[in-house]
Amino acid sequence: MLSEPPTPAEAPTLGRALCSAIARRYPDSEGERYGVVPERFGQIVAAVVIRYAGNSAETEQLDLLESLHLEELLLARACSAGNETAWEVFLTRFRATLYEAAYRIAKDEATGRELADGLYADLYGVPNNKGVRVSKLDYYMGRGSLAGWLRTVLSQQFVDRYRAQNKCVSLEEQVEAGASFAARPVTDEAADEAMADVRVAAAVAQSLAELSAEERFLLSSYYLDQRTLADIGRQLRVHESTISRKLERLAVELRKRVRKRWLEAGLSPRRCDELLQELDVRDLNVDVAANLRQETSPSAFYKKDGSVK
Amino acid sequence: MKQPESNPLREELARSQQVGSHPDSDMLTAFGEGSLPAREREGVLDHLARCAQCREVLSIATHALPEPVELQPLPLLRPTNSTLRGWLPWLAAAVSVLIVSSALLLREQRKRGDETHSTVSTGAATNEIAQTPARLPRQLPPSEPNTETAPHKASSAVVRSEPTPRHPASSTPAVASAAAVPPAPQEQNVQTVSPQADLADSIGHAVIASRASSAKSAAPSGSRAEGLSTSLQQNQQDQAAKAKAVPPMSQVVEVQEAPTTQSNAAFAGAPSTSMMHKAATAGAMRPRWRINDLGQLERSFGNGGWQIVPTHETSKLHVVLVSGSEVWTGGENLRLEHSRDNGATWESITLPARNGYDHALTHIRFQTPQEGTIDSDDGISWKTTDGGKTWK
Repeated sequence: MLSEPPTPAEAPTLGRALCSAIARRYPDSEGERYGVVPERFGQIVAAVVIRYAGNSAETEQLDLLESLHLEELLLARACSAGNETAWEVFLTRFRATLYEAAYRIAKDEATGRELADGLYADLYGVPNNKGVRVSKLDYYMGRGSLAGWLRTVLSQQFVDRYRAQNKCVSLEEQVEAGASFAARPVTDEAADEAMADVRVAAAVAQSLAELSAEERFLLSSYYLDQRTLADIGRQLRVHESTISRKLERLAVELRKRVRKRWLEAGLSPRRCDELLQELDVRDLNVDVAANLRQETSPSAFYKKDGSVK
Repeated sequence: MKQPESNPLREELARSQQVGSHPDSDMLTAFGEGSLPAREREGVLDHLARCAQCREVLSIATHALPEPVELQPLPLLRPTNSTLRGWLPWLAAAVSVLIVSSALLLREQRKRGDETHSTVSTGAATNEIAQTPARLPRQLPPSEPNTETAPHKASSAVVRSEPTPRHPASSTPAVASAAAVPPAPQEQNVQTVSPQADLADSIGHAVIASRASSAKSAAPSGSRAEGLSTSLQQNQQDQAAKAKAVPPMSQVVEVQEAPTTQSNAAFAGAPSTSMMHKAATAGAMRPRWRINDLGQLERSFGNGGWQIVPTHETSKLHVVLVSGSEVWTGGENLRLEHSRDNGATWESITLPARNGYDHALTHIRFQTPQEGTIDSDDGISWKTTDGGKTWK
């Protein structure tokens, strides 16, 4: 069951320039075709602007307005309102996209179809706890393309579905599927000492916190999720060689920073070197899932031959 | 390298994986599409660095993107002969100079021709035109008065007498005997060729091919073309024989339907699309395909424009699948169309209906070049194991 779609708590109060800019976008939005009058169009767009840039300067709001996929936003709202023309357009343009994406995500025809059918039902509308039919299309805000949004929602549903199913899988099945249950590694004395040393942990935490969001994303994706360079490159829309260079530079830089902090914290250079032996980030991709309680990794979803587990 | 039993960095990274509220699907989509402003992008990245679930969703959504159309690089041809390789730059330079000078010459000639055109009232020097193919006369619609078009048609009669009409749509008024029309004084030419143009108009939208080889043996009869030839004989005795050789229309004129193939119609008005089409067929330029809001198949060669590609299908199309030069498309009424040459020609395939034909095709997939599946909106599937020749 779907909850109520997000709506602004207060009536939108937008600047005059923004209001006129919204009005100017109406002719290109196909609103007339889908039976959306200019007033309603203004309300829909204003709600999106308030949601994402309500407290921002008007220039930022105008930039946001420019970046919105208004035609697709109106199409989604019109479908949600039950406009037949809009549904016809939606089916013509996005039905194939939806199913193709589902097949690509599930990598299995039956699962893909089930996934797409499920989302399709949600898009059409499911009664909420008040008995009101709520379409998932009400949640589309036009920030990205509608096709991309459908792919993202499908991916979320796939992850949720996997997790729901995974909870019901017996231990025997997991063992048969090759899941290993690594015992907690026995820590030796030196390691215990290292972990016990608050200064060591604090220095590492501080060094990580100093990194930019993108650098932390790179580290997490590569070392924790074991994504390939190509995967990460696709997500950040850069070439994989760029990711490789960045990771390499990051690893060197991180080691330098951590060592410096440890020295500042009073550790001896020899102790620093010993700890750095343990801190080799290149080792992070080994057996990381067993130690980090990361719930999902690519291998959790797909076998090596590409099929779904 | 030995896996350390305890790794402070790894543990700290894992500890940092504490998330707040997740960005909504819109934000993740916009992030994946690179359309977020810097401030919001940074915020999403910060969250992604902490949230394994959102990283997972983003990764799966990225994988679900359709495969990008990769342009196949054209093979670079290099001469293996070292002597030729040494001369190649000079040869290229010489060819470039030749091309540029030819273009300049042609332009100069055209300019001179235009001047002549304007000085001789509305007429054009026939022989000059004949020597300058670039000055093909414009084709006027039949509704324009003949008095105005006469000079143009006079010249067109000369130029279009070539045995291979390259522009079928613009070669309507060509008359077979025109090849034999001698260059005449301009004024006279205007007067005498006008009836010929009338005759050509009366033929309408037809392509008339000349048979120069058989023309010599044919004798003129009482046709209008004969009258034209006769008047020309009076002016120039030297070429009377040629004029006489004009055969009667019934013998020399072949009237054919103007070639209006679907592919021509598809590219009407598009500049140099025939070249692009050839290139696409040869695989040098791979077109992109889509189905528009009206359910019509469209193709783009990456020049920004989308052209409707007519198939045999009149009902709305829903899906299109492209693999190399093979294009499959289908839609309402279970209609399926297949092209093996990037949409140049199409074959209709009738799927065996199991639940009536009032349904639409929703998916076309090929797991291998031979094995494919088609689904319809009533849940029925057809499979092929022979590359689409038969569907069961």
